[in-house]
Amino acid sequence: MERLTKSFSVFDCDAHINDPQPVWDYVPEGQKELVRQTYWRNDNEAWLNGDTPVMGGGNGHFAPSYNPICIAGPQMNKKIMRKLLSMAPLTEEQRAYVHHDGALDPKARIKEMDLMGIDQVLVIPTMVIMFLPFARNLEGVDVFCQAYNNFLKDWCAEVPKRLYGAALLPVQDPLRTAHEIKRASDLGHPVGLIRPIDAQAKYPNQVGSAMMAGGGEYDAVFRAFEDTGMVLGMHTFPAPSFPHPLGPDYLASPGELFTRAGTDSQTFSFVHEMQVWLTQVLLSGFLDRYPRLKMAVFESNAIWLPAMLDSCDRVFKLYARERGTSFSQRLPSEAFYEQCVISFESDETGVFRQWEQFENVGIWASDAYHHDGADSWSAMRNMTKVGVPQEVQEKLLGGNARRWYGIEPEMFVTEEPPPIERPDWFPQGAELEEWADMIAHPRENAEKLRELGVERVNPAAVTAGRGGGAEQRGASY
Amino acid sequence: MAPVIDVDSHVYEPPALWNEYVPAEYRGLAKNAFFHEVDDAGNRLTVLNGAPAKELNRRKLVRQAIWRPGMTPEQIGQLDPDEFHPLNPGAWDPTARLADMDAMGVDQAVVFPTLFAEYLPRVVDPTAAGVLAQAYNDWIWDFAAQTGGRVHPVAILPLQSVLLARRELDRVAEKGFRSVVIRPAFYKMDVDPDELFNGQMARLQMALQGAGSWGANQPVFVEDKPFRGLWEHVDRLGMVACVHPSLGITGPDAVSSGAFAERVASRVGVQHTVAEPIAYMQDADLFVTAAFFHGLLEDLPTLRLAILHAGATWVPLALEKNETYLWLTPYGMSETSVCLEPEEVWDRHPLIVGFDGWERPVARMPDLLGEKAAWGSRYPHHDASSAHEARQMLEEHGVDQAMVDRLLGGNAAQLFGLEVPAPV
Repeated sequence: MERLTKSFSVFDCDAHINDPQPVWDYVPEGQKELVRQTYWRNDNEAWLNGDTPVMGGGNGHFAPSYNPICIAGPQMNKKIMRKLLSMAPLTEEQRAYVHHDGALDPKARIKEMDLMGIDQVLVIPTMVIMFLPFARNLEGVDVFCQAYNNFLKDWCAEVPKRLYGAALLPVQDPLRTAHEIKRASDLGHPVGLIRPIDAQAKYPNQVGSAMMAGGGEYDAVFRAFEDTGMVLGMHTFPAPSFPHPLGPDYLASPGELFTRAGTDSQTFSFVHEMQVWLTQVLLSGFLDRYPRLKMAVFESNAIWLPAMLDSCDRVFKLYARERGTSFSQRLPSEAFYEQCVISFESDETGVFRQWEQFENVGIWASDAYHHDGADSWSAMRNMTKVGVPQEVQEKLLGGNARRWYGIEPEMFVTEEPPPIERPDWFPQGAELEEWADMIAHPRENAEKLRELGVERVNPAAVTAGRGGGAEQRGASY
Repeated sequence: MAPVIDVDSHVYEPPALWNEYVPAEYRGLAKNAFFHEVDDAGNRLTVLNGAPAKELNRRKLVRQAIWRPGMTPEQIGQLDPDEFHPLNPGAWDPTARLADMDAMGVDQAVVFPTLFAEYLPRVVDPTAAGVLAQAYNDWIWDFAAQTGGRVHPVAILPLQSVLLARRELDRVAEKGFRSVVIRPAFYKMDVDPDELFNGQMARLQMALQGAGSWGANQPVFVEDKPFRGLWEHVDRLGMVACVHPSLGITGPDAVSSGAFAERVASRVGVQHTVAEPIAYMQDADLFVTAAFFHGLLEDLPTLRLAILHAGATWVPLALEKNETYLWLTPYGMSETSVCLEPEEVWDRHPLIVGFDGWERPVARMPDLLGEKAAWGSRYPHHDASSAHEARQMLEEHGVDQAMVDRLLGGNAAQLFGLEVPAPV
């Protein structure tokens, strides 16, 4: 495969760090116990509200396999990861090799960004997005968010002009959130994060009737975003499984239906959480109420957007006399294109095929180092393949995000690196391709798999992060 | 022009269904379990499980039976929602229906329930659900019989009970139905988690995340293991399984996708339903994800599937997402050995997805979305489109005539095995 070159700056609008443990060092000494009873983790365990063990993302949670939060770095792909899964238990050396330290360390991050064709990045935390909305102690959440945002400032300052951060907000407390938006904005963070879920039955949308001069409890939050110019970053996540205050028939996230249907909520929880947020924002006049608000839609894919906007426009017309009189006449699609951007990932061919719909609102995301992440080189290849013009590629891969965040372009990477030299044990080459093709079609290859003595992985053992399944099997897939 | 088949149109169930098609001895039981009527002044009554039920409409406009050929969204939007506007009789009267089909440019139509789709899954009493399903099926059969073969009825099943559902399936097959509607939703059952696909995994995940244990009378998704025999039976009978979501805004979150959106949106002050643009496609996402994860299409490679009322644009993302997570997550290593490349499974399976006459991504990417797409009108719901509107959209985007013919009828005729005479 021919190596690519580029002559423009790539901005990765949504990549992750793995909630580095030094974050907790930023909590003032006198409040450490408070935060410990709110949300706390180390490499092996994590606790919510002081009494609920949760999966905090540390390497220990995934032993003896790899950490999927830190795996998708340079030149990784799903076949390699699947093979690595099947190789469990990995040795400590193997686990360390496939762990991308840029998830924790800013200097390591830069090296990996260079390999992935990324000049600048906005980093977003990981499991705190999942669990912090369920923390009960409002002061504890607030203190933790302040610590995270202070940590983030110093983390990004390690490599100025390349590293930027999205602030964490104590969303279950709107007044504290409004305050933290202002503080985080002063720290220089261009984006503040909100996850659109009904955690603790407090979906973050109660702004009051658009006809009222005052507003609901979250009005102050969105006013603060407007006043500071900070971008509202809506970021979704896999479904939680906490009891809902209204009872077992109610959900905090629409993604929970996927868990209940016996599948993996990671498939669509991200997308559905965002669709729920966006459709009500666009049909309620929310953006008319906050006309200076700038919103970024993260980690939810984008191919669904054009059809949903068409559908929202149609519904907007159908309910013309039911939506109240204070609305502007902007169609939902017009409001979106004026006040929102949406992230997409490298493999979204349907977005590239409809590039005219995304030219000024699409912002590329690597999602590194989460296991479905990918580099910018693959995005460029996929765009070129379907004929996205070069000037549009430059907007989609960086120009739009920087415009939205108010960041100047800087270019540090121009050439795609050669293949990384890997150790002998690392899955690669023809052998990997042959194995991947075989296990991708287990029914067609059942006999061959049997002959080779290859068995399916015990899923419970892998998910539990225990070696129990590993000892039972030899070769596996 | 090739014949046009509307693969997704609806009835609005009239009181006669209860009054004439439910046997007298069961009428009280059935009406107490689920009943709906609108009088000629617009007064409504919906009963579910012996109590007034949440209505599909917040104001007087009955949006599921309001559209007539030629009406635009703007015109419907200008109707006074606090005044009653007569329902379109084509929603229950075969003669009026045929006139509307002529005006819409439709030769044949596949017809689905409206109210029964929304409410029947939540009837608690399985016996009553069985009686209601029989009544609906007998009524829609007679309705279709008066259309000279232009309307194809789709039977509904009482999925509260697999036993009763299978019994009704046999009955409607014997009667001559060629397709059955299955709403992608959760149905309450008393099952042990270990009787479900990945039940052990679900229980483990919930334990890891600190959630409570699985309770009795648990919502079970319609694709899950307790229903597998029913899917197999549909396949054996050679019927088309029409996976057709309902808006789902009248029930709790745990039934289907629309309720969550509707509930949380109530906090933002929106005065009408907001779930319409997303609920259907989210239910479709859920169904195909479950199907790929559990190998439904691989286990039943001849099962004919029509996934309707959700548009078609969701398909590429559903294939991509499933591929990613089948490869990457332990859940992908499921109890069944499933293919990790769902696009291959999808491409070779006998299935169609409905699309809407205003769904421009289909016209922009016919090569990506058109191979298995089939136009549906949603008639007489307020968001309906005619075949003329769909054709115009496709032609404006330069879709070639052969593909237009497939999208407006050919793909549907092939799946449903319809012999279509010359166009009207």
